[in-house]
Amino acid sequence: MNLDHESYELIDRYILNECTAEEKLRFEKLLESDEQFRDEYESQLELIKALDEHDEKIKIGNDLQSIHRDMTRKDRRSPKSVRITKRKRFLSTIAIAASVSIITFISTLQIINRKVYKANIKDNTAIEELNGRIDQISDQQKNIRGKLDIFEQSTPDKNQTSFGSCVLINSNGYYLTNAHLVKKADSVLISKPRSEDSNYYAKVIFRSNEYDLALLYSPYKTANTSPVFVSQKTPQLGDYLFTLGYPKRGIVFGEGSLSSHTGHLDDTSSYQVSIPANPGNSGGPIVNAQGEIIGLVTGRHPNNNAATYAIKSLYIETFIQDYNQSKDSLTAEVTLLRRNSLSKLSKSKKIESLQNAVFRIEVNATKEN
Amino acid sequence: MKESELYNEKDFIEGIMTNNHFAIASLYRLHFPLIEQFILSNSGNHHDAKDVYQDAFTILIQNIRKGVFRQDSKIGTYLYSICRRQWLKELNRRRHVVIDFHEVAPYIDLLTEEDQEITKQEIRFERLDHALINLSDNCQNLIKRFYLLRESMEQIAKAIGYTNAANAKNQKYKCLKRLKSLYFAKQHNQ
Repeated sequence: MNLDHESYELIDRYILNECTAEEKLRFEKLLESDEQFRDEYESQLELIKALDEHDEKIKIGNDLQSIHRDMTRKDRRSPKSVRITKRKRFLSTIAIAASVSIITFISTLQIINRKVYKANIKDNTAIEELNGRIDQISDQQKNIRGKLDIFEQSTPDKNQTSFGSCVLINSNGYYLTNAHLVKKADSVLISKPRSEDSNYYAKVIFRSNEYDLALLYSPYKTANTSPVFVSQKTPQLGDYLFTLGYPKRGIVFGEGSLSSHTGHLDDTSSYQVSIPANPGNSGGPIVNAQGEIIGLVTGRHPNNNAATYAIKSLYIETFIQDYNQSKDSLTAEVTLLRRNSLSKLSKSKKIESLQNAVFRIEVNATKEN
Repeated sequence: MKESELYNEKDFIEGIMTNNHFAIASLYRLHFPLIEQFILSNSGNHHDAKDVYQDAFTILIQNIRKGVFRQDSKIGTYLYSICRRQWLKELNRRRHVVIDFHEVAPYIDLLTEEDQEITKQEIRFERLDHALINLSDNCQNLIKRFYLLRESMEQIAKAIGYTNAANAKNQKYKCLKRLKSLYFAKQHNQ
């Protein structure tokens, strides 16, 4: 690699077919006589071909994603519209049927509860959980997530600043965090890990309280930061997992394993993981051994420090799809990485790469009363 | 299926060559159910089906455009055969023992060269992906604009914010050198 500037320029011009006849002659002469030049030409040609191929593959991938999305959207829509008309017509019948089924459900649960109570007379926690569930049904409007310890680090005074974590999912400056963190936010400040003085403001562009997810956008890109890969794989019970987040100013690593495929009160949209988490961990990624994101920390059990809950990555994809569907046509689509580029790295390299993509956020919110 | 009546195999190939979105979308929809059925009946889920199908579909498109698609096999059979290959590899990667696939359609055995070419292409993609990620944003931007979008040095200088074309050219030289060393360094390790 000790060729001069000129030679590289010549190779580029030749490959891109921009040579004049004279340059072409000079190129061919050098190719004949200079071995180093020939090697350089071959490797440059290979690289440029690989670049073309890479670019084509990504473009095809994006097209196929949108084709697939259209396909599944159509499938989902048609039965829904049928259901709505039926519902209008038989509203009263459905109301009666629903109340009957709710009553049956509650009484069944109470029977089950009694049976379980007898069976697990020593297991207090199981009973607590079941009672909790019945409470929830009788008190239908109660929000499941309201029962969790929410992971904001709130300061008690009036300024209402809370802290949490967020993760970069797209290199154009899109970050993912929890909806509860940015609720009623006046401003969201993202700070770069390991450097205190480079904060920048982000905009909340989409929120889903159902999944407890929020999409942030900030045009200030950070150099050398690659977004994380969100995997659609489902981990197995006992699989090794870790998280990165900001329970304090510096980034904190925590590890554990998958405890359950359901979250608080058997919420099927979440996982339960045995990673101790603290206020500020909210919005941080849950990562598997391959370095892929399989969930986002949302909260923990109020009485059990080792039960942390995370929204499943499947819902991250759905959430992004919902955003892409709802945004106006002028705004760019948010796409997730299609491949995990970290799989072959060692564990410490994975963590090093991922920690560059996890940021601390500071949220200033309006105080209500 | 009305869509399959609108296009025959030749039209689909033509559509892929000319990047006709409608032809590609119909072809995609046409064969997805079969592959989904295959993956679901061989210990996979809907997401696996989507991933494997999109991988295979990408390979199909790239091979047709490169002119290495074998015209003697039907597109559906070819797609199914590649999906079998991809899924077998994925199951092996997950250390899932595959005794026998539950087949849902006829398939062809891929030629050794075809198989090797797919693997090589995957390696090239991953290697370049890794190299690009480790390049600074400006460098990535510059390389893409120059080699893929074929923009002039003046345009690039303006877009990225270099003072002039000569400066951008100098940067391009540095970026290319760095990309080369990243891309080819990994090759020696493998």
